[in-house]
Amino acid sequence: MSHEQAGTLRAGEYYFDLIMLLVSLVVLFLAYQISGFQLCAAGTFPLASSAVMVLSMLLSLRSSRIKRRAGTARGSEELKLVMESVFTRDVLVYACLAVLYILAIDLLHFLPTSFVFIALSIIYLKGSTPIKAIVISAGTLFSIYMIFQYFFQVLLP
Amino acid sequence: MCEEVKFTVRPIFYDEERVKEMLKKLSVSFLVVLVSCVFTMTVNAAGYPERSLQGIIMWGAGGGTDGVSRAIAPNVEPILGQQIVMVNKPGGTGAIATQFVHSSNSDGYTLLFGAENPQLYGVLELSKLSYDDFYPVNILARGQVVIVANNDMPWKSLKELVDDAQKRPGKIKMGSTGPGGVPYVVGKLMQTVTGFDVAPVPFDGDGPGITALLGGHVDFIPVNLSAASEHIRAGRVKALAVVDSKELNISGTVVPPITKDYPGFGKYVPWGPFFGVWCKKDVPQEAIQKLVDAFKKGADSERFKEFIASKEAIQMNISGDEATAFLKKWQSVTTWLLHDAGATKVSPADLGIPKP
Amino acid sequence: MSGSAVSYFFMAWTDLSLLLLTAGGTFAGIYIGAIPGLSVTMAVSILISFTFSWDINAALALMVGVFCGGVYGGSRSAILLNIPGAPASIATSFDGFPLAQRGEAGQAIGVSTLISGIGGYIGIVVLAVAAPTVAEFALKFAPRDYLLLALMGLLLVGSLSGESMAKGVFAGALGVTLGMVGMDPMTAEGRFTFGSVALLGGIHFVTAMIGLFGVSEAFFQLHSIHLKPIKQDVSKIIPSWQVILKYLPLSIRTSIIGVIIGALPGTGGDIASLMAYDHAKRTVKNPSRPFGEGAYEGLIAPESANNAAIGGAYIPMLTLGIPGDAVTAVFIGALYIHGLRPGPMMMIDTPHMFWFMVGNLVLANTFMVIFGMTGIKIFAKIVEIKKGILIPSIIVLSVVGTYAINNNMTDVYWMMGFGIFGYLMKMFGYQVAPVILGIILGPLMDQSYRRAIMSTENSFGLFLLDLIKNPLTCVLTVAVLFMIVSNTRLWPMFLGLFKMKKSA
Repeated sequence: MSHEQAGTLRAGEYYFDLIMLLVSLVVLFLAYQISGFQLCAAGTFPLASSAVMVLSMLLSLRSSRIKRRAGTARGSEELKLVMESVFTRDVLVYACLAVLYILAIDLLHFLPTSFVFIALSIIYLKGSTPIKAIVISAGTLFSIYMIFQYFFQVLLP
Repeated sequence: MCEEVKFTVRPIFYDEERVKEMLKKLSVSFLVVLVSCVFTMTVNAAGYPERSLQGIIMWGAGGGTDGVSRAIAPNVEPILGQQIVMVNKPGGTGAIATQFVHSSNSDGYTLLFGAENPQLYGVLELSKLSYDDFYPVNILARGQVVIVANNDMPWKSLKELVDDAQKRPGKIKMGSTGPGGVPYVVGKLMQTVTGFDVAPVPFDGDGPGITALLGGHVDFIPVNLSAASEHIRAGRVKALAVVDSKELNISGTVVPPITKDYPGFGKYVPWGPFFGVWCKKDVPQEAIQKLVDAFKKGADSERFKEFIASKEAIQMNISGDEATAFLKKWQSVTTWLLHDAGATKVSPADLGIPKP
Repeated sequence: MSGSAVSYFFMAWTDLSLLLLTAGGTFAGIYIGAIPGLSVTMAVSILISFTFSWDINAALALMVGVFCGGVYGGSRSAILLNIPGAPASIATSFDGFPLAQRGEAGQAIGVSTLISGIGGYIGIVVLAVAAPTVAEFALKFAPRDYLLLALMGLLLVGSLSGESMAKGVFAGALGVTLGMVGMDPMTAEGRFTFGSVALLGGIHFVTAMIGLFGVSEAFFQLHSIHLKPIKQDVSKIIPSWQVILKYLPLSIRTSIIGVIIGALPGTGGDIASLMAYDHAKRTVKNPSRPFGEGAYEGLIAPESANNAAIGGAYIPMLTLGIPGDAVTAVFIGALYIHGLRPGPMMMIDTPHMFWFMVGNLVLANTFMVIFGMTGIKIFAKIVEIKKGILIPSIIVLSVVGTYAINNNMTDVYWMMGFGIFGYLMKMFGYQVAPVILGIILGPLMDQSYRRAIMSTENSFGLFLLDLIKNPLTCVLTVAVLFMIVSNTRLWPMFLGLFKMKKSA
């Protein structure tokens, strides 16, 4: 928007843009493989949209480069800033917990994994005392079970 | 088979016991949920079915398959004495649902409610499965296909349409669908027999196709009669032919058979989609028998017959060997037809499908 | 309306059991709508079996109630948690959630309830007065017109981009690409499927919606985990007449957008509300606050449109037997099961059914406003729950909701992937909304474009000619061009970039 040039570059933003550019190039390659360059085929739109992805990312990178010249943190200093602002301990731990949780659902059953997940989360995030956490977890799951499986006959994972 | 069920359930229960020990303060309500959950799975181990069944519908809510499936289920439930929980699992023209049911337990608690599509997965390279991998519990009904045209078109018969197409090749727009859909297959059939050259415009199904016909965005379309009958009755579209060797009468409007001017269609007709219920092949024999009996009785109910009639479909109500023979014939006719029209990725011969 | 029509119109009002069923359906619908993953389409399909042995009027009363309540209910979770309960409430979250963060959740829900009611009534009036005309108009839309409509919707990316237009366009294009994943319905070819059957079905956009909005927001909130939640002011919930009158013109305009988009057989409430939001953003010069930061205008436009789309979706269903959206497709199935034959003859053979359904819709819409006004205080308190408890609950609910769409664990993995990716996008200055916009509109554009080209003998030149030859298409083409040109933000951006390059 209007403040395109305003504001400074976030720590790590430049590298995220670079990764996105790489991803876009891979997608462009895959899209080209669907049906080559044709005016009306299954691959036309994927090719067009991935081309737009590449172009828009190039534009974004250009403006980030300009901002980078203005002087931002580099190297290990930038990494440290990224860890502090984006990958904070809470986020890393919690994202891992969430991923483990959805992977565990397939092996065990929905109810026990969710129960452990909610209880552990509340304890870790200091939402409440451990005992209350267990009660809240059980209550939440009980209502989810009643609403989904009992009233709507929706299967739980 | 009952043992199997217990074995799959117990470890979960014991696991929970351990959790309970660890955490000491499991809430009562949670236990109630858990116990009731385990209960529904194991209690009353004598005689199938002892808990509710799951019906997987291979197409989305609101489609033709969804309609037939949801109409038959309530007719069968009282006979089985159990509920059939119907779930839509659309995607990949039903390949995802087919795969899902195939990888479920062979206990007869998961049924596949589907249409003709899996018979074409092989030649279209969508999936390795077909109805050969399932037991046909009941083929409920088959649909009829009519070729309908926009009222603004000058044709009064299929012959006039074909002649017109021959005069201006590639100019007439035919409503179609993606590969495997009814309009697509019949379009290929017409191309094979009459050799006409039209421009197919694929839509998402019969419904969107007939909508485009009403709006004049395509000139004609071969569709399921159930999607077109009310529009024919109201005189909003004209029916040129029915894909059958016998004529069709829709409230006094006589639709000639497709073989009238083109006897070449004779070896393919009657052709149409079909709907049915399948379970895995290795479900215990007694469970299969119960399912077959229940669906036979349910499909014979007045309510379901009326429904099929209102959908302009033809009731079949066949199972077992009779159904398998029907499925084989359908697959052989259709795959070879598509193969001859150059629309397959894999030859039916490579899949061991005999020529019709 | 003849005498018997009037009596059928009021049938659901005067019969106690029908009245109660409609009320119950509406009440349940609000909660179904509010829970992401529980869709109205799904609920109505389940009701078909449930009401199998009932009288048709009773079955319809319940289903209509669920439909009305459900479309409205989606706004609750959009405002309170930034998780749209249904795709039709995506646009509601753009300004609804910022309002909740300002402690105005109560007022936001109050306004959206009344405005939803107004939108709903406008939709029903159009249905009752002009159904055949609108239906014939809707049939006129050719594939090329759907392409132009989708393009108009996609231009909304321009106003959703946030700080950087380039990043907004990237997000939109990414969404379009994601929308292409799976089996191409027109050729049965796999696109980006890597030969996997699980990917053949594509990525359901509700999966992306729950991940990008719900889970990524949950991760984002971890940064402010120890802050005290904002106190919600729930003293003034029912908006004053002045407020309603002030927003009425916008509400009427966006309701009309909603009716038309709803009546088109290829589009429903989700696209209607997005286009209404875009309309508000373009036409309202001095919003109460800047759009995206809690403008009431940004809440009113989508809420009017998605409820007006209900009446719109009924139009082709009752006049032609063609569904206007996914829910009416299930309704048509229900009519068949109860022995009716939906189609152009239904209005002629059984006109009383038409008036019964119109009367029933009015009743359901009224109950929606009444029930919508209850429980707001309790609901608003959800935002005040400690984040340490709210965040895990949101994640579990997102998992259940995602699984419920197709009963598929693959969807859940995608959802979590979207959640983490959405968090990163937010942290590095990208907006997530354009991704959803792309996923919803991409497939519509792709297929409409190819249909349009195939209808013109595969000639691109003839296709371009078609864009100006037909009067309806010509109007849409001009509108799209005008929107692109008037989107003046484009010019300063390019000029700015140009200048920067020179000076650098």
